[in-house]
Amino acid sequence: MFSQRIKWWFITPMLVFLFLWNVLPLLWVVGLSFYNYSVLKGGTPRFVGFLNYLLLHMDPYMWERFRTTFLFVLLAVALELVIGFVLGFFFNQKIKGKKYMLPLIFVPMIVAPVAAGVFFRFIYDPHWGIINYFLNTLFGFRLEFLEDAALAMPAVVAVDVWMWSPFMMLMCLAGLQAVPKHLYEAAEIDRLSWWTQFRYIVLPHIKPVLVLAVLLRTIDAFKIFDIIFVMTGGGPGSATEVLPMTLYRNAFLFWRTGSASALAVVLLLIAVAFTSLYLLLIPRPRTEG
Amino acid sequence: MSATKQAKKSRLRQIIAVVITFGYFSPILWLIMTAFKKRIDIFAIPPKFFFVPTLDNFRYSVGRGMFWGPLINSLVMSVLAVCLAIVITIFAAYAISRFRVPASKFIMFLVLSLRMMPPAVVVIPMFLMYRLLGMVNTHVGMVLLYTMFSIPFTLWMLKGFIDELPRQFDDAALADGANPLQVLKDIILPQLGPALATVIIFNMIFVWNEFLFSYILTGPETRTMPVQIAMGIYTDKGVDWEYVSALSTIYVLPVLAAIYVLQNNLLRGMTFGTIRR
Repeated sequence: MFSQRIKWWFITPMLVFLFLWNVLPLLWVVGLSFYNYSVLKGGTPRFVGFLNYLLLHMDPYMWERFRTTFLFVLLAVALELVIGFVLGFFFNQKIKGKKYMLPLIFVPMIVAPVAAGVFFRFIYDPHWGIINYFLNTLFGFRLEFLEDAALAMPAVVAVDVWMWSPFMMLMCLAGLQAVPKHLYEAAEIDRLSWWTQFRYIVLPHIKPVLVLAVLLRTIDAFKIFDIIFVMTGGGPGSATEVLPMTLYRNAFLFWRTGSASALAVVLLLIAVAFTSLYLLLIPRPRTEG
Repeated sequence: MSATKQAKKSRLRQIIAVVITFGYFSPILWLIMTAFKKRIDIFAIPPKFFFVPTLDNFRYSVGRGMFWGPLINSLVMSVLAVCLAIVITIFAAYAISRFRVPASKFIMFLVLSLRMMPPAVVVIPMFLMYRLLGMVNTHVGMVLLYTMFSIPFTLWMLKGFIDELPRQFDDAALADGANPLQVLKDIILPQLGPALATVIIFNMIFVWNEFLFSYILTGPETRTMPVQIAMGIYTDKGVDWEYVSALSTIYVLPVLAAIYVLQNNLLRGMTFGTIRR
């Protein structure tokens, strides 16, 4: 049939583009991960098999980076979930002017992470930052948020939470709006306690959305680069050095292209695993055909 | 519950809502305020909350150079890349939505995982490829890169929107002997109007905000705003906050305006069209 052939004409340009600009580079990075190669030194890449992976596995610093990343993701996503959840419930009530408030709360989500990171450096500044001004006048001390190894991680997490707790709130609001009104009315008549209402009426309705929200945020938090790059550069020491940062440094500061590629492949596999999980959990849209 | 008690509670709720809103928006407000302050007021202690706004920082930033260049680069790249991505993707989205395409599930999965990947993973081979092709620090290279960057989101969003359009019109047209190209142009596209606008704006924001690819692959002539903000902050005297606040304000304002347009589709956009309301 005519339309059967034309559909290939429709898809092919995109597929070609995807192949050239996406699949090919990824195959390249997988290939490179088996070679000892440095872009800076040039020369012919030397095949080393799984050596890069083995070295990665044996590198004690690498495990520390994994731990740092895990800590960041855990802290950020957990805080975002809790705060977003509370805000979602709060803003599900009748509030005058909600229409004008919500967009302002959602702004951090779509502001460039670079701009947010740079500007939070200003806000965190030990000398003229506004947070330290209040700390100093109220309690008489200052904190070097980004220079102190113990504070840098919480400071970076706080920026991520500022940016993304509104997203959790948005997802939560969407879930809450899906709860049928008559269930609340029935619960009112039966005089169910607040907890029972929450446990048996609200939670089942918002759980699927929240699971997706957490997963999506986990994937995103795992990718974090911009904020950390501009705020701490992974420091002080390696207090905030998450894996994308390590990858960047190995590839473009130390120019260990081969071993960086091995790390890239590991991250790639993790990302693919998360994506599959995410797709499995998406509720099937009714219109799919 | 008595009426007065309820009124009190609702007033409290109202106050809390305003405080939360202010809390989330205050860093951006502070940024914009800083951009309009005099140099000495930026570092004033105690911080100045009331001041006579001035355009000094903007004048200074224009004078410092690297002001219009990155702005124009960011603007042109995001517009061109997104348009190109839409043109390439809309056909595929239509075909996948309406016809039986083998491996369409796999294509959708592949595309989504490309977007879920840490950019640091893709940037290594991209850098090698662009170096080999001589496309590092070229406008064409950057536009093509951002086209690639926009395709996954565009495909997921457009497919979702087309899925939601009623099928009977295009089925009828096809039965009457119209070819799919005509159907796409005369039936699907007109119905897609506002949805298309949403996809374009979201995509432009994503390109506008992208940092790492641009940081690695651009030079002074092709540099985009986020890279200039991140790199331009350092001078011999430390961080140049006059410049950074002015540049970031101009950088952030279009996005602020966009949030009002996107409000109703925010959830959909932020989840790649996987969650629809």
